[in-house]
Amino acid sequence: MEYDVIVVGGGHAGCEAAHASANMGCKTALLTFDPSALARMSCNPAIGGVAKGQLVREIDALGGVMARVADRAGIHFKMLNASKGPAVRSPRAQSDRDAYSRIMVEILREVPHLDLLSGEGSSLLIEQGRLCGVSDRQGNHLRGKTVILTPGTFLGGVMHFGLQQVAGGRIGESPSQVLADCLAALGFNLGRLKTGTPARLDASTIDFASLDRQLGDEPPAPFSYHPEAPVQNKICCYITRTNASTHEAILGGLDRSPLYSGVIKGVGPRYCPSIEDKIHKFPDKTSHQIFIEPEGVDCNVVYPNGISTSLPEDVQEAFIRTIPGLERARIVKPGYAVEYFFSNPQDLYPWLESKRLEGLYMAGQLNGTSGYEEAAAQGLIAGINAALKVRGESPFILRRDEAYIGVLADDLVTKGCEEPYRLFTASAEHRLLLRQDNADFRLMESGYRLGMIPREWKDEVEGWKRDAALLKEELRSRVITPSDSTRDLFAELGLGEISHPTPLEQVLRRAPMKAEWLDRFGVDLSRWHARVLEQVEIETKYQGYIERQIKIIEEDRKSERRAIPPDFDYDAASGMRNEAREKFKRVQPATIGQAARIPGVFPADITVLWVNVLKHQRDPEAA
Amino acid sequence: MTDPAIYLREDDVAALATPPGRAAIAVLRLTGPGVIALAGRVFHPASALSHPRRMVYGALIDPRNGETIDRVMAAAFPAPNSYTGENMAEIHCHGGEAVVRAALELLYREGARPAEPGEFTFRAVRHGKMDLARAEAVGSLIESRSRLARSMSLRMLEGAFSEALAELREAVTGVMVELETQLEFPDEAMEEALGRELKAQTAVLAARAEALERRAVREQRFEQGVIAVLAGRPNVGKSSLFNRLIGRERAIVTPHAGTTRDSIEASIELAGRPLTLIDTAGLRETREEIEAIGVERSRRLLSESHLVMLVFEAGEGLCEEERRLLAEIERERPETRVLLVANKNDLVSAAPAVEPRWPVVSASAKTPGGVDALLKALESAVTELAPVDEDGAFLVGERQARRLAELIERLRRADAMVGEGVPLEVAAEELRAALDAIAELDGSGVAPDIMTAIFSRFCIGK
Repeated sequence: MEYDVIVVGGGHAGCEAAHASANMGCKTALLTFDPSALARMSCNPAIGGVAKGQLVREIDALGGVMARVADRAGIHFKMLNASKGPAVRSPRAQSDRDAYSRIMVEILREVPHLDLLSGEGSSLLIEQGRLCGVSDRQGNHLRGKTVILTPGTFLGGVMHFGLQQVAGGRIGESPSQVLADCLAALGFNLGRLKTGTPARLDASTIDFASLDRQLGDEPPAPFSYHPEAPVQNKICCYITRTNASTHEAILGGLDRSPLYSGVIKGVGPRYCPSIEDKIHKFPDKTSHQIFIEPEGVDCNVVYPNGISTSLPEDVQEAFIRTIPGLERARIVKPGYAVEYFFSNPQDLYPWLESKRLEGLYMAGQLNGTSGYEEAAAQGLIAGINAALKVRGESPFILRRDEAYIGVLADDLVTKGCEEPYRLFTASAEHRLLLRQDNADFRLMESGYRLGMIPREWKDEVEGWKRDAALLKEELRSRVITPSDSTRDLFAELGLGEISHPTPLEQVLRRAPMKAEWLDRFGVDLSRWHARVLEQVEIETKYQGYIERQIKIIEEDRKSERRAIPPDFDYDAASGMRNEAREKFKRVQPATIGQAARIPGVFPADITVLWVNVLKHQRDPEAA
Repeated sequence: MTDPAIYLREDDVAALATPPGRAAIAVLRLTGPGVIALAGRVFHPASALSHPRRMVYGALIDPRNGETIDRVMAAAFPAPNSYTGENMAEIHCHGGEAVVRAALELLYREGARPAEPGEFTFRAVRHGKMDLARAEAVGSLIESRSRLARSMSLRMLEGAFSEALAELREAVTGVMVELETQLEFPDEAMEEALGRELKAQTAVLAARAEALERRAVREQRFEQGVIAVLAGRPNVGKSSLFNRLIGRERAIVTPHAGTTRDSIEASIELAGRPLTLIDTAGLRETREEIEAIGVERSRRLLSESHLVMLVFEAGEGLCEEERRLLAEIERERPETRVLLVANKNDLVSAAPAVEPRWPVVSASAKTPGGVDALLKALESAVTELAPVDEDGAFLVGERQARRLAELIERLRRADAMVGEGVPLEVAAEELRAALDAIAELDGSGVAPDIMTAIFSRFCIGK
């Protein structure tokens, strides 16, 4: 038999990919070491965060699975940046680590057309230059039209515990060494990255009473636009700090650190440094914050967030016990660093298909990213596009102005990566538009067209969009005139002075004004859904900025429409700077707009490229 | 370096097609889908533009207030029969600096963007209006232009502008780093106790940008320079002084009154500034036709000059007519400066008694050091008329002046927002736009890597 889509790897990228392609009706196999242990959280037990929370909402709006699992497994919900503006508000939830994996297995087992298979996908089957499946470690062939690789840290994974090294992608689990050899033999550009994780501690050995508590939001907000059940806060987190003794213990062990003895060659993430890095690079800082995060409700393990390390276990134990509340802490599993291979994502098309091998898709840490959410977003895009390929349809690409997912994919394929890539809100030039509150407004229609979202959900959002337009119209036409009663009302609501007739739209634009007060000005609030009021309030307050961004987007879109033919020969292009030529060849941009975003490319290079493309289009033979 | 994608836009752009500076006419050129409609909004009669490629006479009128800016010739070139292949329009106005600036500002306000270097030609290529052989040259043409532009600004600005911009970029980046740290890393930002003094920092940014603008000298205005007119009764020695000042025998000098009939111009450099010196016909009632025209022209030149050097004989002092002229200048043109030149001081011993309101300098065209004092006085007058902070000033072109204005506007708005309940990410938008403006101004094209700055400055990450 032949599958439509074979997904290799059962992490966050692989699960999302398999869920998407099977949901789109493709016969899908998910091949992983242990199909009863999917979507494991190798690092911190939390989903979401700044920019990442937006990604989770987008995945949900497109019919992905992450938000649903995170809601069901969630035990502590928080909206980050709640006191700041709507564009940077980001949901985050602590998860019950075991529940997360268990719920993912439950959901995927119920997905039609999806087989969960046990085995190590160790090489790609290629016949007459065409990809036709994978083979496992024992040499069994699994035939498939398309393959999605999501090996994560398992690809050539090596763990470092102090100066001791163990092959593997996660503690106690062996690596995918053969697959790494296979990709290298096929000529993929592999590089080495590094990440790390802290020791896990026995909760019963921690003195919680002495620590500051961090509570979840009440009421907690779910990730999913259609949560299966109300979410609940079930635990609280705690905060403690390192001190001078901690730092002394760590510095004393640096000679046995694989990071500082040159053993680790892979590049680590700057936004997630190990505790030895923090102390070494910021010697003036006398104390570092640590969040103590329970890994579950009935779980006796906590995750000390902020002290990831690859120091030897005895040094770990010594420094941990200098920390208030952790004086008697027992290590359940030591922290470690892991090095793994990634493949240069510039070798991918924006729909995450390999330029080197048709029908091969890649997602997650293999593309140089870090983070469960970044992995899942790529898995979703790879799964959707593998399914579209099987159906013979054109690829699904999200633009940078449509979704953080689009920013993520474009950054990867255009800029490549030199360190583990993490998404930031600042990565999006249109972040005022890409908010967690409007992911369904932006994307649910696409999800519906792909067959991932039920029609009634899509229709509901369309209805809200129409209502928002109507309400905005009403706010423009309803004019508030100065009078004793309106002056009193303005004073009561803290809106300042009213000196001349003012459209209600402008009243709403005043900083303290809220949409829920519009009934005080004669608006019938019962006509409008809370989601409509929320969107109208945000868009009215941001209007000038949103309009400016839309104008820029419309201009940029013209250059995004200028396609560069796939067969364009950069070597034959005349007048091109050699450095620019190499960059274009590396990335093979799909459009002039993408070409202009390649780092180190100048306006004149784009001019020359465009002139050459025009020439090619007119006379492909001569060019 | 401007944003690469700007060359790929299809919006409306305008530029002065003729060299900047004084000229009989100046040609303003527009290209883009909306430019014929745009021209119709400012040119009357607009209907005359419906004849393709026909030059028509009319008026350039500001639609806001109906004010006529200039009498002009205009023509519309509908696509594809134009230089760029797009809709184009040309407006031929008078070549005065004020006219050109007012006209360009009107076009920009009506929606045109100042053209980038080589943009008209690039559009011509894009629309297939040039053959492929020439097309190949366009890439290097644009490149060489920007190289020239870069070396020019280097020479002109002696690095002052770039350094000032680099300092400002660093300052804006510093504020941006704090702001973005708060947005991206709320858990850590709390710990770093950031943003307490954000308001003070944004205020400093706005003030620094304003200081930068005060140092910016508009290239066109500067290069036009100071216009100084030598005026006075016939035969007081204006032409002799003129020749001495410009250092060559340009004006004909005879002992006869009324030798200079027409005005003579020469450009010299004084105190590092361009100075246009104009010798005029002596002012007197005359029945001689040519001389009368010359006298009339002298009066007109007086009204256009920045500096009037009123020359009289040291032995005689000012006559009634000269006093009248001075009073007229004071009344009608208060910005015009006057320098009283007591000439032929070699013939008298005592300093003349004259009008105390204006500086007096005595001179002689006959003695070796006779014009030294005059040159010195002229120098200080020119220095005051074209004030330039010589240690810090730099020349900016029209496009740079606009970017600088935008930069200041952005920083002022960011400052107005911080601490006023406006979400921080909106202030960040303004700062980001300010950084873009700086990148366009100094040609670096390098957006500062905010994330790298955050990681090097703060210990971030759990």
